[in-house]
Amino acid sequence: MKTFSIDEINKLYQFAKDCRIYKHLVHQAAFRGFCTAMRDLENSLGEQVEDPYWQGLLRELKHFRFIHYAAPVPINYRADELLRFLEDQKKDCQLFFPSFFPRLQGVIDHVSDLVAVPGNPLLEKILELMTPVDFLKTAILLKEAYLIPVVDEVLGSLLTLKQVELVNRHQLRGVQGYQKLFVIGPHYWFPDYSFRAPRAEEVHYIRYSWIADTWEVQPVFIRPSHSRNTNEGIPSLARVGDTAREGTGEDQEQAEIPEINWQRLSTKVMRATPDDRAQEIVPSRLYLLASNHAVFLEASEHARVLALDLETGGEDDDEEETQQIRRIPVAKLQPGIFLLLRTEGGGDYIVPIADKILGEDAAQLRQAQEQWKTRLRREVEKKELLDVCIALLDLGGSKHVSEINLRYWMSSKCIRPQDDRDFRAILKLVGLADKEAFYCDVTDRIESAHRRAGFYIRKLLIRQVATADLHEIHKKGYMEFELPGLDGGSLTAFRIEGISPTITSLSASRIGRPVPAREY
Amino acid sequence: MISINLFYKSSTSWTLLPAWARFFIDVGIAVVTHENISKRALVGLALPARAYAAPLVAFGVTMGKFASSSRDMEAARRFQQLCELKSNTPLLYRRNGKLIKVFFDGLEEMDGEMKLCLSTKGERYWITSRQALQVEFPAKEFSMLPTRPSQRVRDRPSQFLVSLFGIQTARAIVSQSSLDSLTIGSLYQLKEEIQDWPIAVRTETGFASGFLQEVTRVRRFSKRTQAYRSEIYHVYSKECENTGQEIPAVVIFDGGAGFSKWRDSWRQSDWVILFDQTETEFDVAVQAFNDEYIKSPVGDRELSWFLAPPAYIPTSMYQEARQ
Repeated sequence: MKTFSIDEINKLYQFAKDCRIYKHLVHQAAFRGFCTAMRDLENSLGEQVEDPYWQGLLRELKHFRFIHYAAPVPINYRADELLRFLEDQKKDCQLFFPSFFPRLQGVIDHVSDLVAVPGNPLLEKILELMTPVDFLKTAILLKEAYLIPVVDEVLGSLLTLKQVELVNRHQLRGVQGYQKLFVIGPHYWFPDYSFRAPRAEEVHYIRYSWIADTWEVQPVFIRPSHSRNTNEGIPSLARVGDTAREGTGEDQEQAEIPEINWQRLSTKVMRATPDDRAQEIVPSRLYLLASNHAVFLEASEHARVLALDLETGGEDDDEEETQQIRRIPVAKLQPGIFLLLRTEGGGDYIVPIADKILGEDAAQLRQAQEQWKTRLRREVEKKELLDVCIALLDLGGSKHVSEINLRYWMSSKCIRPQDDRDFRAILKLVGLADKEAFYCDVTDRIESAHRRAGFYIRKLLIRQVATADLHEIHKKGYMEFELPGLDGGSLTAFRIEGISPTITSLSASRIGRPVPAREY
Repeated sequence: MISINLFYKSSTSWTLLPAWARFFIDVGIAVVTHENISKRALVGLALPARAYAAPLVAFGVTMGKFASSSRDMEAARRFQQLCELKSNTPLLYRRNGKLIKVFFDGLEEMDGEMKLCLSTKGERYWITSRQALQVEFPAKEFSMLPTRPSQRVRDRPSQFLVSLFGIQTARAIVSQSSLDSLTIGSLYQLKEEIQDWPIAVRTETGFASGFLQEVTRVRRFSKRTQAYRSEIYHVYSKECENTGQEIPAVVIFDGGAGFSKWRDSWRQSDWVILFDQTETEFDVAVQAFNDEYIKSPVGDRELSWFLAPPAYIPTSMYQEARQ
């Protein structure tokens, strides 16, 4: 991973010291009319707002509104599409919610107006604030990375703006600096470092005039009010140059960010992943990834995933905890972390390489491994999990015997229990006690091959990360790795964008398979 | 307050370090020169990026250590620490250009003076309080002595070191070990900044150049026989579990992740916590710092001796009883 020069870091301190922050408000009457009509419709619905009909309809309206709040796109962008959708909804509204029809019709009329409105008010404000020398060193910060291609197309049509860079919040964590950074939307949409540790000489926040943004920012550290060391902790705010027309009495509202519809996203991923009923059922959680992908990951206590650490780097030793690429518990995953997932060949990336290491014995060893697991699963099917645990304890199992661990031992993720006493008890229970030495040898060989496979992959990936462009990785949100040792195999590091709040049980065959899916 | 003008190599010439970089050196100097036996200082800084900050603080700590404490006082403190060891604790003893593996063999009163007894193959050494800085803790403990327990040491102070400290102190730096600071952070980046970044000090004849490592003498980047002044642990390394016997004067958390993970350890040392405002862990780590700050006695929430931080580096500090 590239380290930064003192001159690059010096620039960042210069920005922190001298950056000027401006707020700008933009007004557009037709769009304002639409937003007001939409808000009035939503407010009038009362409890009906929970009805699936209104949920679906409002989702589309909110998504349209959000795009226009968050991206410098023409006012009529996707307005005709929305109009068609709303026209299709009219009949049902007249039939099931006739009292709300006039308000819906009001919204439709406003959308109809938007179709004919030319202009791109946010972009016009940007152009107004730019001087010819700025074009090469200017960036526009967008709330969502998925908006970048949309705005890219808009800018591409304007010759003067072709050089303007579109960035997401993750890119502002590097050392890349700009003369002017335009931020589209209220400040609370963006992490505090976008203004506390700015990456530009000037930061211009641009939003529609009716979006509320009070700029109430807490200092970083708590300090006694009489402290001698009183820097406010928000140095850039002291230099806010407010050119906004605030205090004009305009009715303001908060800018909502559309929530991820986890249910619909889950359905999409389920449709795109294989449902192998022969595999065990595991608790799982859905993750939304950068580049419009989503993946189910096992949510059990033992589950770990391979993650790429771009923040602390790694150490050149054999300790896994200090490696740049290491397995971390799924419970510790959070948005912003890069997950390594197999994108070609599907499923587990360790097994195929481990099988290559095991050579011609691989199939036989895997089969033997499956034998005791299948027998154990049958025992659990016959009795309850708790009864099997008691039986294992009676047969000399250790204190680690528990329902959670038993589930894990049965799963394909586990090679064998860590404690020999537990493995011995299992073999006794399933009638394989006389072949204990054989099964211990099988699991030892598989375990060793998995360790070597993990080491091999890690080394290979670290070598590729070392030469990678961090700014580019943060921009795209993913990085592809080729694995020469694996036929047609590739791994991709995806940034986590969102984590589903719920856990569902599904077949292990669906786990760890990222699929293209996007749900707003 | 001592002052030091360091230069770095810009594209064309040696350039004075920027003010923010000099501030980090001053932080290190300030924390170590105001060391309080019963209370420790905790300083939190919120930075736009954390590169270069930890090595410069570590540099300042060692600078401050040599500028402020007398060698005799430092030796007395080390002697006291060694006196409390269990018998047979493995140690290293620097004597006549050799580094000797020894075991602590208790205390003996000789000629009315208490002395440490160290034993090695067929030999015993009695160490007075003034000689205590020649005894150091091994990086890895050993339970048996090798056939030849001593190794020859050849380490002369560089021109850079001599220009910074003068010949006497420079000699002490290369011949006496002490854990002035411990940094918990990202190893790879710190290594480059400490070992590969050319810096210089102005002399009468021009510039004497060197690297931060010549002063910070990070143990893991040094040869086995070289004297050390600091150490670095990777934020996720088991080494951070604080199992060693030597207590660093100052612990530098290079990033909020290290602070979040290891803040229950190292509570005997002063702390400098470098929060990177752009790191994922920033909010959680700062919240943890603020929570501890609130619990500190109101009268300890200000360090009157601390330098005024630049307005663009949010800073907080307090002190609490050493543990």
